[in-house]
This record gives sequence, structure tokens and C-alpha cells, in this order.
Amino acid sequence: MNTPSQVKQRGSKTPFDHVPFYDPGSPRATSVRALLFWIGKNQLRIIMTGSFFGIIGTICLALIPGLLGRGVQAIADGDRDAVTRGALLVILLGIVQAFAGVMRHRRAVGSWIIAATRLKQIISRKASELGADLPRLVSTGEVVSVNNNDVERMARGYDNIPRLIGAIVSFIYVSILLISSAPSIGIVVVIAVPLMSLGIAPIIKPLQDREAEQRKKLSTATNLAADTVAGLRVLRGIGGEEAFVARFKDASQEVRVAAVRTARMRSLLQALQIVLPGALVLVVIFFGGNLVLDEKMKIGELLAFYGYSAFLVLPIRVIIESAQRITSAVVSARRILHLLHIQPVNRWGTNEAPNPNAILRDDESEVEIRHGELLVIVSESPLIADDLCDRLGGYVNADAVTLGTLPLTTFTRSAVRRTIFVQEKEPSILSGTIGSIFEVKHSGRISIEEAMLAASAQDILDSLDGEGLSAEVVERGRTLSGGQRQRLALARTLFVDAPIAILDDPTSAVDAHTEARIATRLAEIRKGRTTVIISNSPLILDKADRVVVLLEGKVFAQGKHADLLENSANYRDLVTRGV
Amino acid sequence: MKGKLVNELLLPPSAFQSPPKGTRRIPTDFGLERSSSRLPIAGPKTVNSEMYALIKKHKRGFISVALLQLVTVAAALVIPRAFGDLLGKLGSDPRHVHITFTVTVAAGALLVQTIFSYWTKVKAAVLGEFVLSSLRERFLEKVVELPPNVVERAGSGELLSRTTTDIDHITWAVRDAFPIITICLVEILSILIAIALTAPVFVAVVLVATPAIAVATIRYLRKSPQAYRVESSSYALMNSLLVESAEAGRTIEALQLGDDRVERSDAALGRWIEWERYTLRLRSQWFPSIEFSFIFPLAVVLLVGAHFHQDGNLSIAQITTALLYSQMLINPLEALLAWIDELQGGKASLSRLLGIHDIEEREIRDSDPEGNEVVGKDIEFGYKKGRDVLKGISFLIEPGTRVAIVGPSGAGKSTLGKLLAGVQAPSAGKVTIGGSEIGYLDVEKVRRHVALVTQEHHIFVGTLKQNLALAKADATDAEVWDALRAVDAESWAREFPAGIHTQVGTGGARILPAQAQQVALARLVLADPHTLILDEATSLLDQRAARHLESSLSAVLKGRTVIAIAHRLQTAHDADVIAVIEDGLISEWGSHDELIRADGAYAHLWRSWRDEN
Repeated sequence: MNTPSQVKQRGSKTPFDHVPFYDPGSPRATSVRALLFWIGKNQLRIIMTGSFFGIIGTICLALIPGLLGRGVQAIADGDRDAVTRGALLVILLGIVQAFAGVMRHRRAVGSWIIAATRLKQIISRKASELGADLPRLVSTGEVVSVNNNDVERMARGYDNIPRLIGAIVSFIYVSILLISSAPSIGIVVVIAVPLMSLGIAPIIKPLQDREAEQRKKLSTATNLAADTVAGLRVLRGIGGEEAFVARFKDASQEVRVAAVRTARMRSLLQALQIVLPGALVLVVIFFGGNLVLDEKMKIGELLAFYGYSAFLVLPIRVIIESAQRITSAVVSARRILHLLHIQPVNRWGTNEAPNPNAILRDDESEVEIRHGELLVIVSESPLIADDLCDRLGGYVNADAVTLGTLPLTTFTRSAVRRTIFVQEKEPSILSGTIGSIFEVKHSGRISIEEAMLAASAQDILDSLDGEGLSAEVVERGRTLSGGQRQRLALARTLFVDAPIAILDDPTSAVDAHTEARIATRLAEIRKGRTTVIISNSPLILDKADRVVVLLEGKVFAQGKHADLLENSANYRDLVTRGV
Repeated sequence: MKGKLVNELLLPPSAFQSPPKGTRRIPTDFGLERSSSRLPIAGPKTVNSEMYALIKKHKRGFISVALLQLVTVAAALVIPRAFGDLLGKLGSDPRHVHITFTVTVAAGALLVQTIFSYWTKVKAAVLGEFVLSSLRERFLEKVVELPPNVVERAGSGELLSRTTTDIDHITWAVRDAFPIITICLVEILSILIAIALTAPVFVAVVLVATPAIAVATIRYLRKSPQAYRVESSSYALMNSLLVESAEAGRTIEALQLGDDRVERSDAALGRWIEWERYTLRLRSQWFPSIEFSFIFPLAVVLLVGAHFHQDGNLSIAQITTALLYSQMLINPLEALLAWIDELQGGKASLSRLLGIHDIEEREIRDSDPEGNEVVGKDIEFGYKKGRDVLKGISFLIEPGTRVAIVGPSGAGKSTLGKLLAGVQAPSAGKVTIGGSEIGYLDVEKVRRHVALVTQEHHIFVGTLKQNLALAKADATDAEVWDALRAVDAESWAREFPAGIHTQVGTGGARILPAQAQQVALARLVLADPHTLILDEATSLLDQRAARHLESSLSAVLKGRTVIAIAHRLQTAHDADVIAVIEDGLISEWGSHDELIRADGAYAHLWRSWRDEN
């Protein structure tokens, strides 16, 4: 993929100056393998250059035992010049190796950051695509865990590639060196080292199982802690802290026990990593020593052999580690793919131009909404009213809803959102300043001040830190009272000024005076536009052009508030505040 | 369209200052100063003293790990020495070489090394897990003891991210760092001693690069902890953005803010990457000098060895052994430095965790309330300087009275509720219950006398019974059912598969917001304090259900003082006394009938609520 920013990469200061991407692309991946390859293909360059430095670095390291062996041999032979030459070469190799090492590290870090960034960007775009469906289809915890843990594990699979390639190349190089200089021991070493790695392999699976178990226990404990913190106000108000701390301590101790079990297995692995190469070194000493005795080998060569056989453990370890990382990258890629494959509830059409003046009709309840009216819907059950709002806005399966003659689902999603605005029962206030709450697509017909006034929300500014619209709202408006949040959300809805606005009980948390004020101003500011309000409040009903009464989910009666009050006992029962 | 704007909106001005590009000196705080609205971050002093306390507490564990490691390393040192001697003899005196003997000795040493290494590692892990679990348990203990006003102010988000992300972060750093650093230090020292025993001159040789390592490392450590700290908090910021997007998905879609969210999250990602870049630059300076310092001494050993060998002062055996020993130094040194680095990242999270310890305790003026009378005297309170929400309120509430507080939104009703419940103390004046200033009592004592239920609700993971029995751990099933009956919740609770023993909360049976409010009230019934403050505690129930609940609740709460804040006026109608609060002052006080007769603000409010205008 060629983004403009990728060109910038040349002459940049770090290998990942070009991220985040302007467009992270879309993987269109059907399988885990395809996803892994797609990400890898898009950062092939950095993986290749990283591998280049990986090879240089490990080859330098691989050369050192030979040089040291020759150096000691030269000392034994009394050849001072050769010693000096050898020492200088060691220093040179040290410099090259340090340079190559850091270059590889930079590319490895770059590799994982680029992969992680791309994945995170794709996930945030997916979240935006799913929109309202996201909280319904996936738990927040799941999204966050995929976005953190799985992205990280998958990306870590790429950062390891340079080391892996360096390890493979250096292993081959040293093998050739050993076999060509002393075929008998050389072959023993070259065969024994991979065999030893295979000997370690049976431990890796149970180790990973125990690690997974430990992670699961840890996430249980973390969830318990999170649950306690989320309900901290309740706990502080009424008590029970000790029980919760005790519960967490139990979970935490379980984590500890699981972790110690993991550690036993890991320590066993590490012990094997000591004893097996150690045994090989002993074999080399034994046979090599005898070769020296038979004068078939010099002592410097034996020292080099010792060094080589110790060195070979390194690439093998890297290879085993890479196998583990790749396994967990694959597991994580599967979880990421699962998230990316979630489909929105509605299949939207292609019609870009809905007619906002047409009648909006819900077949299920038989509610019809006419252009320009202020319709108030009274329902004996709040749940049924909520469902109606969801259908009218196309937030659930919207096949039963038509706009004019066309089903709602024949339009594009953005066209529907543009035309019909549903304010849910408990709308969210996003963190930011008051001003940022109004940074939304709007008609431009209504100013922020007008909207705030109509929603009786001007006083909120006074209760916050900061002046005017720059006053700050934190964390879903937690610092605001329920009534304040509701009025702020209403102001936002009025500011958006959608052709069709549907408001689910927008004044449930405000006092009567304010409600009366809002009812009057709302009717005025929405003049000429279509407005539907779900409410049982006489103050709101009084302002309605038409009232529709739902009973058991169907239209039961309709008309003016006053007429209904007079003629329907059922209606009176629903809306009067009999005391 | 508004990239710059987004950046500014996304980040509170104090969170991040200019990007670190070309930064030479970083302010210690990185702009993450202890602001009043957030939770504090522990300073280096707290972090260090807490770490020291941790180590001290587990002193014996550390010592035994060190001793075990000593044996491990001692065994590990045998092979190079034996090999060096063998090589020396092979060079000078091939007649008297006992290869089999050397190999047998080395094999024995290898066995000892393997067994003790396993033992050390297990012991270290056990120790590390102990340290870690006590750290996280202490954190939670501390969290649930936070003063209510701090909880109120900080919001749960920040606390939540510390509980989850930071605890996860320190898992690796703290758990492994301490034991591994101990192991590495023991190993390095042992090897140095072994070198000295081989040939003292080589100690100087292998230490030749130490100053370089020290200088590079100190330079690195001077900048890295803060950088890692900001890096991890910018990572946390990225997360909270996603959490918000996930939870407010509906609102975001309705407002067509999808693109804006993507833009914000890209911006946050960019910030995080910027810090990753910065820390990479720091490592890029540190790593090469370190790596070179590992190899360089090998060359010097050769040169110095050659020099002294010619004079006959050093044997090939000594030189070989020294060469092998210096190579053995590389691993523990590398691990030591890597873990010191890792510890820096962990320290960042640690300082966020330990920040909890820096929160000021609330001021306690202990006294025992005598009687249940609630009195307010000239109460003033404001969130912002110069803008008081309450401007001097006085009242006396006799025990057993049902009080309704009404008034326009934003008049200060909820603030008064918090002061009455002792969440905060007024900035001037006094709120007393039974003569004791409630805002200065111990939290446990407060809740024996007064409880506050707001419209916010939380259902804990656990059974329904556990959710109710918070305040009364020994509550019987019958008592729990009684409490549920008192809040009209019995019917839906009966429908649960296992009744009150049904799992609820995240992952359990679903509880609607209105039902959650009933649960909150049922808790209160079980807790049974003599004074209850209900701030819109039935607002999520529909009108008729709320009214019914209130009447059955008041039957149970007979004799208790109930102070209810409500916008629904039937609550006021049923109360003994109504307090009308307007603009921070009590404008009317009296029973429903009195106030209607007085024809003041309440009478107006009542008529408009009944739509009788």
C-alpha cells in the first residue's frame, strides 16, 4: 500500500515516523493467515531491513569464539602481532555488532508499533462502523481486551522476525564452520543442538497452558477489582468493603498459586536450557581434548569449539521463543478477526435521498408520524416506547418501518441518521468541553445559545470549572446531575435540528417549572419540523399537535390532549398525576 | 477538518505539553501535576520508600534466593575453570592430562548448577508472587478506604484504569524485577570474585568498561522513568477513548460522530507513538554503548593476557578461564540492565498505584452523635471560588420526619444531600446529626447514622443476596426477601431461576436500571440507619411504580428520618415537611397544605406540575 506519508519514511528519525496512517487500509481478510500476511506485506520493508541488521549482528557474535580461540592460540605460540590483530578485530566486531544490534532493535520496535497502530486504527474504524450496534454485540471489556492484549500479541509476532532470521542464518553459518573444521565433533554438535531443542519442546505446551490458566485467573481478579471500584460509591455509602476486599484477596491468591505453578514449569524449562547445552559442552571437551592429545586439533581451535557450541544455544533459544510468539500471535489474530467480522444489525440500502416530509410509519405499532407535527406518544409501558424509538431510528431491525412508501432499510445509514434523530432515554455526554458537545453535524439554523435556552440549560455553565463553553465535562458527564445531563443532551438534540427528531422521555429528571418552560420553548424551536416525544407528562402533552396512546404496543387512541382527557378514562389514568 | 482542534479537545491542557521532540530536559512531572480533579501520582520519594518497605518485609525471602543463587553460580563457575586448566595442561604438559577426570568434575558441577538453578528460580517466583499479590491487595484495601469526597471527585474511570491497566503493567515489572535483580547481582559478584581468584589483574580488565556502562545507564535512567510514565498514561488515554466509544456507541452513531471518534483515536494513537519514539531514542543511545562494553573487555583480556604470558606471569589456563568468565558476565549484566529498564516502566505504573497513598485523609473530628436530630446551621458551599451553590441555609429536622426537598434544577438540592450524608463538609456553617458534625466523622460511623442513595446505581458481580447484604453481612434469606418486598422488587426477584441466589452483575442475570434502583433502596432497608437521604432515588421507575414503591417503603421506614430530593411532586405531597430551595437558599418551609395556602413558589410549582395553570 502506498500512502503519501510512507514516502516520508526516507530520511526519517525513527523507522515509524509515518504512523498513524492517514488510511490504515482494510484487510478484507477472510482467514487468520490472510490477516497475518496482509499486515506483514504492508510493512515488508522494515521487516527486511530489520532482518538484514539481525543477520549482521548475530554473525558478528558468531565470529567472536573463533577469534578468541585464535587469539589464545597466538598467545600460546608467542605471536604478539597476531594477538594484537585478533584483539583489534574483536573490537571492530564489537562496534559493528553494537551498531547492527541497535538498528535491529529500532526496526523491531518499529515493526510492532506499525503493526499495532494499523490494527488499532482498523479496530477504531470498525467500532465507528458498528456504532450503536457495538455495545449490543460485544462487551466493552472484550473490545478493550482485543484492542490491547490481542493487538499487542499479534504485533509482537512481527517484531521477532529480524531476530528469528538472524538466528537461522547464524545457526547455518556456524554449522558449516564447525563441520568443515572438524567434521567428527562438528556433526555431533550440529545434530545435537536441534535435538536438544526438540527435547525441550514437550514442556512448552503445558507451560503455555499454565500461563493461559494464570492469565484467566488474573483477569478474573482484575474484573473483581474493577467491579468493586465501579461500585465504590455504593460501598462507601453503605458498607461491605471488607467482604469485597476479602473476595478480591481470594481471587488474588488464586492468581498467585497459578503463577507459582507456571513458574515451576518455566524454571524446569530454564533448568533444561542449562543442563542440555552444558552436557554438549562436556562432550565437546571430552572429544576435543582427546583430539588435541592426538595432535589433530590445536588448543585455540578447541576453545573456539567450546565457544561455538555454547553460542549455538542462542539461535536455538530464539527459534523456540519465536515459535511461542507466533503461536500466540495466531491465537490473537483469530480474536481480532472475530471482532472485525462482526456485522451491523441492519443491512442498509443505497438510496441517498430520503424525503423528510413523507410519513414515517411503524407497522408494528401502527404509529404514523406526519410532517411538521409535534406528536407526543403516551405508553403504559416505558419498554414498549423504547422499542418503538429503536425501530423508528433503525437501531434494531427496521424492516417494519417505512418513510413514505419506502422501507427505512432501502436508504443508506448516513441518510437515515441525517434525517431521523433519536435521543435515547439516557443519552451519553462525551467527555470534553461544553463546546465540544456541540461539535456535531447540525443544520446551522439554530445557535448553541438558542438551543441551550430552549433546553433551559444555561445555568449548567455556572456549575462547572472553566468559563462559558470552554467549561469541562469529564467522563460521561459524571460531574453533572441527572437533570443537568438530560438538559444538556436535549440542547444538543435541538442544536442538531434534524428534520425528524424523536425524543424518549427527555424531561424525566427535571422539575415541573423547568419542564413547563422546556415544553413551550421546544414546541417553538421545532416549529416546521417533525418532532416525536415519548412522555406521560401533562405539561408536554398539552403542547402536542396530536397525542397517540399506545396500549399493549398498538395505537389505542389519538387526538388532542384535552379531548382525550375528557373522553378516555384509560388516558386519564395514564397521564393524570392523581394525588 | 479540525485536526488541530481535536488534539486540543482530546487532551486536557495539563495532560501533555509540547511533544518531546528534541527535548533536552524533561520536567519531572511531564505536566501530569497533581491537579485537584484527578488522583495524585506518587512522587519518587513515596515510590522508593514503598519499594524499600516491600523488600524489607520480604527480607528473608530475598536472602534465601541470594544464598541459593550463590550455590548455583559457584557450581556454574567450575566448568570454565576446569576447561581452562585442561586447556593449559594440553598446551604445556600433555602427558599428565586427565580428560575423564575433568569432565566428571564438570558434570557434577553441572548437575548441582541445574538443580540449584531450578530451586532458585522457583523460590524467586514464589517470592515475586508474594510481593505482587500483597501489593495489589494493599492497593484495593486502600482504594475502598478512600474518603467519599475523593471518590466523588475522581470518578471511577481514573481509578478503574489504575486498578486494571496499571496492576497488569506492574505484574511483569515488579514480580520479576526484584528477584531477578537479586539473582543477577549475586551472579555478577560471584563471577568477579572467581576472576580475582583466577588472576587478580583481570578484575581490573573486565571492569574497564564499567565507567562507560555506568555513565550511559545513569544518563538513560535520568530521563527514562518520566518518559515511560507519560507513555503509559498516554496509552491509558487511548483506552479510555475506546471505552467511551464502545459504551456511548448509540449516541455517537445518532450524532454521526463516527469519523470524529476515529480522528480522536488516531490523534491519541499519534501521541502515544510520539512517546514511543522518544523512549526509543533514549534506548538507541543507551543500547550500543552497553553492547560494546560487553565485547570490549574480551579484546583487552587477550592483549593483557599476551603481555603477562610472555613474562611468564600468566598461564594459558588462567587466560582461558578469564576469557570464559568475562563472557559469563555478559548474561547477568544484560539481564540486570534489562530489568532495571523494565522496572522503570513498572515504576511508572507503580507511582500511579501508590498515588493512592498520597491522597489526603479526610479531617476527622471524632465525636459520638447523641440523638437523631438533623441540624443545618448557616451552611455555605461552592464548587468554584466566588460561586456558592448554597448560600447560608439553616434548618432543624426532628427525628422521624419525612422531608421533601424541591426546587428548580441546579438550585443546590443534590449538593445539600451530599452535605447531609457527610460526603463533604460545608465550607462554612455546620451540618450536625445528633450534635456531631457529620462531615468530619469516620466513614464507618457516618453510615451507622445516615445513608445516601442517588440515582446512580451499581449491581455487583455476585448473587442478588450478596448485593443486598453489603451492609448486613449476616442477613438471613427472610430478611433479604422482606427488604425486596419493601421496595416492590419481590415479584421480579421471584422470577429469577435461583431467586435471591441468582448470579447478577456483569455476566449474570440482567437487571434493568429501574430494578437496580430498587436494589439500592433494598440495601438501605437492610442497613437501617436512622436517617436516609434519597436523591432522585426512584427517578428511573415510571411514575406509578415510583409512587407505589414510596408508599410501601415508608411503611417499613416508619420512625426514620427520610429526606427525599425529588422532582416528582407526589413525593412532596406525601411528606411531613417540604423545603423549597431556590438559588442556594431555603425560600419556603412547611407542609404541603401550608405551602399551598401560602400561595408561594411551591404552590406555583404544584399547579404547574398538575398542569392546572
